[in-house]
Amino acid sequence: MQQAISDPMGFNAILTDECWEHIAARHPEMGPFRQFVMETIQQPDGIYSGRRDATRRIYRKKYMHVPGLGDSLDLLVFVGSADQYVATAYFAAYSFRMLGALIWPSS
Amino acid sequence: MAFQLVQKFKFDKVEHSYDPRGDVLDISFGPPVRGIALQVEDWLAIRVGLEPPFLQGMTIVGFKKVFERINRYAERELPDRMKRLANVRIKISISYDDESDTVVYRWEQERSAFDGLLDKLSFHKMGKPSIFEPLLRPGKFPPPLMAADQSLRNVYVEKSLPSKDILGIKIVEFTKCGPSALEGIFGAIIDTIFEPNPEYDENVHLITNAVVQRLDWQKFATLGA
Repeated sequence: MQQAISDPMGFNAILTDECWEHIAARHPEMGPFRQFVMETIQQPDGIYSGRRDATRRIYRKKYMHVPGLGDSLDLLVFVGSADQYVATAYFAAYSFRMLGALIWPSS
Repeated sequence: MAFQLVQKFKFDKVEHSYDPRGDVLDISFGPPVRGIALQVEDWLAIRVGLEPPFLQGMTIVGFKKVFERINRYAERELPDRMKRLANVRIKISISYDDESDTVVYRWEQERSAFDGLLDKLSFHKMGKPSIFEPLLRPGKFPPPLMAADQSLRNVYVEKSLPSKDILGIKIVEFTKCGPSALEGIFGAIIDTIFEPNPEYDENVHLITNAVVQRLDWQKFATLGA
C-alpha cells in the first residue's frame, strides 16, 4: 500500500508499506506509531531543509506523551524532496543543534 | 572527588543496515531494540536503548550524500569499516570534582593482554605526566553564535608529555555550562571534519583526529583536509 500525505506547503510525501517495514525493523519502538508519522507530515510544528543535504525535508512535531516511550519527545520524519519518499522516522529526546533551515512556518 | 565512572565500549556486535533508496544508514550494537534518539546534527542521531539506558546505535540520514563530499567510496567501503569498528574497544573515564566543579573525560583504546602484563611489570605505575591547554586559544574564539560556542572557553585539552598526544578533555564550571560545552565540542568536531575552519585551531583538530582515528575514519579526515 502506498499513501500520499500532503504537508502544509502542498508537498506530497509518500509512505509505502516497504518504507514502513524498514523503519519499524530498524527502530522497533516506531511500530505502533505509523499514524503519528502521518500526522507529523500533515500538521508539523516545523519543516526544515537539511543543513548538509538541502534536498532533505525534516518534519518535527512535539508529542507531550508517547505511550511506552516517554514524555515531551519530538517525532522527526525525514523525506526526500526529489523522490518524495519517507526515508526514516524516530522520536528524539534532545537536539544538540538546529535541524537545518526552517522552511515552514515562514517568518 | 565526588565520583569517577569508567565505561567500556565494545562494538563487536555491530550490525548495520543501509537503505540506498532513502540513503539512510542505521548502525546498531546488537539487534535493533526500542530506543529514542539524541539528535547531534540534522543528519546524525545517537540512539539510546530504553531498558536499561545504553548506547544502542546511530542513524545517519543522507549517508552517501553527506560522506561522498569527503570520501567518494563511502558506500562501497562501508562493510569493511563496520568490520573494523567491530574490533574497536574504548574505555572512557569520567571524573567529577565537586570542589572545583570540574569534569575530566579521559579515553583510551583498550590494550592487549600482553600490553597489560607489561604495564603491571612496569616501574612507571604512577600516572603519566600531562598538561592542560585551553581548547581554543585566546583571541581565536569563533563568533559567539550559540551558548555552546561560548562554553568552549571552559574546555581544556589534556595532553601527554612529552609526546603531546590527546588524553582527554576537562570542562570547568561544569554545573553552569557543562551540557552546552559538550554540545560545543560535538559541533566543533563535526565542523572540523566537514567544514575545515581556521577559527578552530590546533587543539580542536587534534581532538577531532583522536576521535576519527579511534573510529578508524582517519582516511575520511585525510581526504577532507
